[in-house]
Order: sequence, then structure tokens, then C-alpha cells
Amino acid sequence: MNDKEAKLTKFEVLLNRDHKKILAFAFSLVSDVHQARDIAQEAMITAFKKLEEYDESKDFGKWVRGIVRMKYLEHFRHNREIPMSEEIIELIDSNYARWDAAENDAVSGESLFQVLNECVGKLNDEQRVVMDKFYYQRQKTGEIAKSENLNEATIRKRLERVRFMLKDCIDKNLSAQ
Amino acid sequence: MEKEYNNNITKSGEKPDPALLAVDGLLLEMGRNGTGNDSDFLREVMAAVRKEDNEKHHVFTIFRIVASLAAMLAVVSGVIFMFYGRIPSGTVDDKDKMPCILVCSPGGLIKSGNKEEAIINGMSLKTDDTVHIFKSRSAFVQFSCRASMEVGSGSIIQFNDIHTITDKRQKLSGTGISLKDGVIQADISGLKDGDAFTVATAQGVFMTQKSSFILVETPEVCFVEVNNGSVRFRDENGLLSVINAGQSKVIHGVNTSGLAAGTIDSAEVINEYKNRLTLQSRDIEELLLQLSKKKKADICLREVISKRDVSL
Repeated sequence: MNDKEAKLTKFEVLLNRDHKKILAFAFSLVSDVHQARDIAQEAMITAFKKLEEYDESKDFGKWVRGIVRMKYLEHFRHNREIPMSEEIIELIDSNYARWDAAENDAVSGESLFQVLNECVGKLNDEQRVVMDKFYYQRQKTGEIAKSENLNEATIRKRLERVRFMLKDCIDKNLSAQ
Repeated sequence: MEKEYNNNITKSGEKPDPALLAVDGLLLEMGRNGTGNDSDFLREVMAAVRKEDNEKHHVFTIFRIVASLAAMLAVVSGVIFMFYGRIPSGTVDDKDKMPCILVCSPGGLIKSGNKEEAIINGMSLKTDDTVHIFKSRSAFVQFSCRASMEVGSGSIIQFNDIHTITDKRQKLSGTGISLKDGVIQADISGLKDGDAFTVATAQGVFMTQKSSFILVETPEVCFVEVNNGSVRFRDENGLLSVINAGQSKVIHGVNTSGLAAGTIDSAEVINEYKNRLTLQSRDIEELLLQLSKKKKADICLREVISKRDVSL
């Protein structure tokens, strides 16, 4: 295998392992899913170009999330939009870093997404329906409110409650492993 | 897909919790692809990465080819240079081909855009520059091999339209000035068909292709005296008159007959302004010689100097 192929293979292995969290991080920053995907893709291409700079003793996901941050800020400045504050981005990143560390330490070898899936299974029916419609079926809160015969504020409250519960569940389960 | 909070502010007006935003991201990704790999995304990224890598390789190869060709060209040029023993002549900077103004004694301002500064000998003139020569000073403008002009003291001129002129072998384009107040003595050697030297005044426009003339413009008087060639004048109503060599014309002025004491006499004004043209041929030659000693002397300038039999 020549150098070029070795580099591509190495990158593919790293990407295979971390691409979902990198995508999730981009989704945490950007409201538009397509935009988030583009930013994540650009960040990964940049990561490949700079692969020689990557310190293998450090976490690949964290390194690429740094590039995602940069692309996100570039994208918003280019479009003259106001990006999220750097403080909030830093705090979001610290959550991902904490989950990465917990994942690596976990004895069970379960991934973050597998843990999340188990936590989703612990939601009650009401919460499950709202979560399903919002995240899986991509419905807006207004549409969900109409179909559930509830007001929009209630739907938003339920979604917030779902997120809180899932966050606590992930933290508990990852640290327990 | 709608996110219920947009960037920093939630619909309720509160700032979002970063931890909840992080969970939100996980849920969005899981909602799209479940817990397994996003193979479409992975495929797209790897394809883009391979394409990027190939393009980089191609660019590098092209760069190597271009660099090799450039090196070969440099070697061949060097050989030709050595064989012929001289460097092919280059062209002077464009700004050195622009008309230049020379002042016999310091005392003038040039306004260029919003900037106003003292005139320095050899300054280039640009379209829309306005020149004000102070009283008791004198100035000379060299447009090209074929056009020059003395500017009398106290005159104000705006250069409306200046085209870069190189030498007589190149296409010559026109020059237009506005004489606001004062006197000029212009020497136009012969422009090509379609080109003209024009002077706009409050009364109308003077045009010539080959002549030497004096033009006086004041609030009270507009006067032209043609020494060689001919000058055409078109007034505001479009009426054309031609002033030939040896002729003069008061375009606008006060009739000298029956004037009350203290009233302005056109002839008096005209003479007073003509007397402001003080540069002798020798003065102009010295100015041109000084200019020619500057590093990038215009080719045209050298021709002008040689015509005046001034040795370089």
C-alpha cells in the first residue's frame, strides 16, 4: 500500500468511528439539517487535508469538532448571519468531550448512540410520541400540537422534558459502565 | 426541520441550555440514521476526499510542468541575451506618459479629487485635476510631443479629459481642458483626424487640431488670438466661427466705445492677462531639461527637447 492509500485508509477508519458524533455536533450548532451536513462534510475534508497535523495521542473527534466550529463560524460570517456565542459552542463541545471520555472508559463497549437508544426506550408514551414526531418524522411543533390536540407551548415543554431526561440518562448510563 | 430555538434565543426568550443543544444534536442524528453508520454520508465524504487528493496531485504535476517550462524559457532567454548583447527595450510607466506640469517658480496648487497640494515640478496630470497658478508665478504643461501650453499667472484650469499619450507612432487621443479664469498660450503641433485639443469656457468651446493661440477668459472677457493655424469656436447656441492665423476675436466683453470712467475696458483686460504669459523659450527649455534628468523621462519629452535643440 503506498503512502496515499495508507493515508486514505487511516482517515476512513477514523471517520467510521466518529462521523456520527461529528454530525451530531454540527446538528447541535445549526438549525438547518442540510446546512449542518454541509458544514460537517467541509470540516471532514479539511481534516483529511490536515491529517499530518493530527496528534494521534489526542481524540480525533475533538480535533474534528474544532474544525467544525471553525467552518460553522466561517459559514455564518460569510452569510452575514449571527452565529451562536462561542461560550455556548464551547459548552456544547464540552458535553461531547465528556461523552467521548465516558465512551472510551466504558467496559461494555456500547457507543453513545446505543446508550441514547436505550434511554429513549425509557421514555413514557406521551414523551415517546412527541419525540418520534419531532425528531424522526420531522414535524414542526405546531403540527404536532394540532395532531395531539394540545397547544404548542405544551409540546415544547414536553420536548424540553424529554431532552432533560435523556441527558440525565446518558450521563448516568455512560458513567455507570 | 424546525428547531424550536434559533441560535441563542428560545421562543420563550430564554437562552438555550448547551447540554440540551448537545442532546438535540444526538437526537437529530439518530432520527436520521438510527444507531448505525450513515453510509451515504461516509460515501460522500470519502468521494470528496479522494477527488480533493487527485486534484491536488494534478495541480502539483501541472505546477511541476509549468516550473520546468519557465526554467527552460529563462535559460533560452539568457542565451539570446548573451548572443545579442542587449536587453529588449521596455516601456516607461504609464504615469510618466501622462501630461506633466512644470512651474517656473513655486506657487501653485493642484486639486486632485479631495486632495489639494502644492505643485511639484514634473507632476503628472490626471483627468479632473484642477490647477491654480498663483499671481506672479508661471507654469507650463507638456501634454505630448504635439501639444504644450503655458499657463499664465493667476489662472485656474481644470483638465476634463486626458488620455495617455505615448509618442507619435502611437494612436493619439484628444485632450480637453476648462479654462475657468486666466490666460493660456497653447501650441498644438498637429493632431490626427478625429482628435482635437479643446478648451471649454463659460461662452463655449474652442477646438483645434493644429495651431498656436492665446486664450483669455475672465468673468468680463473671453478673447482668442490665433498666431498659427486655425481655431474653431462653437458657442452655447451651437453657432460656429473660425479664427484663422493672424486673427483675434472678442467672444464676450465690454464695448470700448462710450464707456463711463472706471468701467472695465476689454482691451485693457486682455492686455493685462496677456502680460501674465511670462515664460520665454529658454525658461521652457530649462524646465524640460530638468524634467528629462529625472529617472524615467518620457520618450516624447526627449523628442520635444531635441526639437528645441537643448542638449541632454
